[in-house]
Amino acid sequence: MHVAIVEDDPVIAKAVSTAVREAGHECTWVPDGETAVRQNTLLSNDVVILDVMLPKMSGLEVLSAARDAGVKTPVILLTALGTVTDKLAGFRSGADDYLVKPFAIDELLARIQAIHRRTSNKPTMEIEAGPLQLSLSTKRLSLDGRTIDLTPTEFSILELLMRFNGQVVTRKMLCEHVWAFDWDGPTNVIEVHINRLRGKLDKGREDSYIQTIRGRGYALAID
Amino acid sequence: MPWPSTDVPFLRPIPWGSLRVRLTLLNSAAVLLAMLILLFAVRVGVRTALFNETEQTLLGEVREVAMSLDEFYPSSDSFVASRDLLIAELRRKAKSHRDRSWFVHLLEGADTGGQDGAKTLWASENCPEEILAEPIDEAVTEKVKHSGKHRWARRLIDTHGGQKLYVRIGMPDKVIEQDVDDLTWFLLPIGIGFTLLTPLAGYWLALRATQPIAGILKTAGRLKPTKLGDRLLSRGTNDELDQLSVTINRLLDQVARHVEQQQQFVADAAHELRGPLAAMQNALEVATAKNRSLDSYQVTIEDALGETRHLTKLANDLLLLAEVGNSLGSVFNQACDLSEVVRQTAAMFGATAEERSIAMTIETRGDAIVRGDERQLRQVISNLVDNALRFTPDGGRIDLAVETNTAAHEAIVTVTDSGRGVEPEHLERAFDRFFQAEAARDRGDIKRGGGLGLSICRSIVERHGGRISLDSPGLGLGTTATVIVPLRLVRRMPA
Repeated sequence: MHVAIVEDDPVIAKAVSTAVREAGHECTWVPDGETAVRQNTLLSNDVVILDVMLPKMSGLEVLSAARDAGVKTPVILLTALGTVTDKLAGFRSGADDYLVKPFAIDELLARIQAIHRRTSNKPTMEIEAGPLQLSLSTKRLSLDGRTIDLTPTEFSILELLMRFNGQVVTRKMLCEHVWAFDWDGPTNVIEVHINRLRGKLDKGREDSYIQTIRGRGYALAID
Repeated sequence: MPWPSTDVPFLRPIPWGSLRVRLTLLNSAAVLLAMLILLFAVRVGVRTALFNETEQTLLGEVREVAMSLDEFYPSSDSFVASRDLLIAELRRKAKSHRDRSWFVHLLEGADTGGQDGAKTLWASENCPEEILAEPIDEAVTEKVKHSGKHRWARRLIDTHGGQKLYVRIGMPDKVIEQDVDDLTWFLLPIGIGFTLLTPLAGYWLALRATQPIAGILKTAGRLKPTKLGDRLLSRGTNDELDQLSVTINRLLDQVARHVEQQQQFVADAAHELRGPLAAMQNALEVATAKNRSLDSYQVTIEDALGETRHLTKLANDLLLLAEVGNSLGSVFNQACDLSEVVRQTAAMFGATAEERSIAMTIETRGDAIVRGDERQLRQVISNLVDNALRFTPDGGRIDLAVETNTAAHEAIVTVTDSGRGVEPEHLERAFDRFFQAEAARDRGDIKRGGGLGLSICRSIVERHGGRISLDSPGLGLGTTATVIVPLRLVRRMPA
């Protein structure tokens, strides 16, 4: 997948490019809005990460211009402005997703992947990861062919982890996915469910399917 | 020398269109009008009184004439003699009242009445023609007759062989009019004096009345957002201007307190930001000071990440607080079921509580539908439950209750824990931004909060027109947080 990041802050651009490349995609850095328009960045990439506050030409202008020209490439907006009004302005200009700075790189990677999948493939009713098979229609998990009972919360958590197999999923993403509320407070409300999931999945195994990435979140690591 | 624009005094000398001048003019106009009405009333009243008085006197005079005739000459035998005496008496009367222009008319009339039978026996020389020609209209009357120019009393005083004797005593109106005019001329200088004095007195009064305003203006002109120490002088008279001063002072107190709170808030926020920044800076400085093992770098980076996460949370909370605070009084159109909010929150925290053997119960009574932003209300309940979880030891309990008070039209949510409670002196301060009781400040504690949770709760609840409070019977005895939000008003649909 070709990803472009239009961002004037070189530190963020460098970090994002590195992370995107390490996730197995190609990444181009475009330093300002004018260059993005001149190089037709939105047309020549699969997903574009676009900063809103850019020198010379704002991200929203770049986006509006491209959408007016009929370019449908999915765009994730990045900005330090996080009020509802700001977000609405972004979506009205034709953004597909919106991330407020500071953000977790893992969340950005997950969103890039989700948005790419959403715009390219049909949603699947089955998710597979190694011996795990999750049926979204019957809400059933089978591990090596045997069915494992999961609570709705556990199911929901595992679903997200399996969708992003091999990637870090943050606590915030999990909260948003499970309870439709991005709880960011001191109490870790995810951990206990992760532990119970491990109890159900990891019987007879030494290491867990679900890894805790300290300070970042959780990741499923199944080839 | 040109003044810097900020130093140009905005208080210009008060021009002639000022409040003072307007007050004076209005005052003078009111006094003058009142005086004119008064003078006119006095004139009319005096005139009426004088005429009444005169008429009574005239009536009395003719009665007296009749009586004296009866007294001195009870028989009618010596009519001629008595007539002369009567004329002499009348002449005396006319003479003694000459300065009042009294006139007397004695006449004889036939029993049949009518002009033909009337014959003047005697008349004072000042008796007007009009009266001499006046026919005998009635035998006796107790009323004064008024012709427009003159008024006179008349009476039948004797009957003598078919002839009747009448007397008329009267005076011209112009005499009394002259008296009234004299009074007017006497009052006029007083009126003119008033006319001249009123504006002066009015100006003086207006000056006195507006002097406190000048003081208020002067003090208010000195006030600046950065220097709100000055207060208006309150004279303790409790009049309107004094109340204005007191009200403005109260407003200034509030503004000063608000500014002070904002400054404190900025200072606190900076302080809170410095902590994690210092930790991060030091850790990174030490890491780059010399070559270290990969593991050592890993630990430093993770520490730094932890601090940035804390900073992020802090920045998000500050922004949330600013966002909620800015839109005070905003109207929510969304209906939100508080019972549902509490159930969702309990579902999110339930497993964590269970893991720590904390019994979490929910009790809901009534339809707690309020108008509001569901996400924000969820934030409130989540913060409260999170606090309860953090300060309740394993094996404790947390009770969530949703009730409605239909009489007061309120929904009440309580979060009660069996935790370590709050000192009474901290119950109110707990809602202050960055306030944290010592135990909650421990930086080593991975569960440390940002110190803004309850402030955010209060901002959100107040934005929803409600109120929030903490209650604790004492240390170690648990805490109850109470959130009260007005119920949604359900408008009845017209049938």
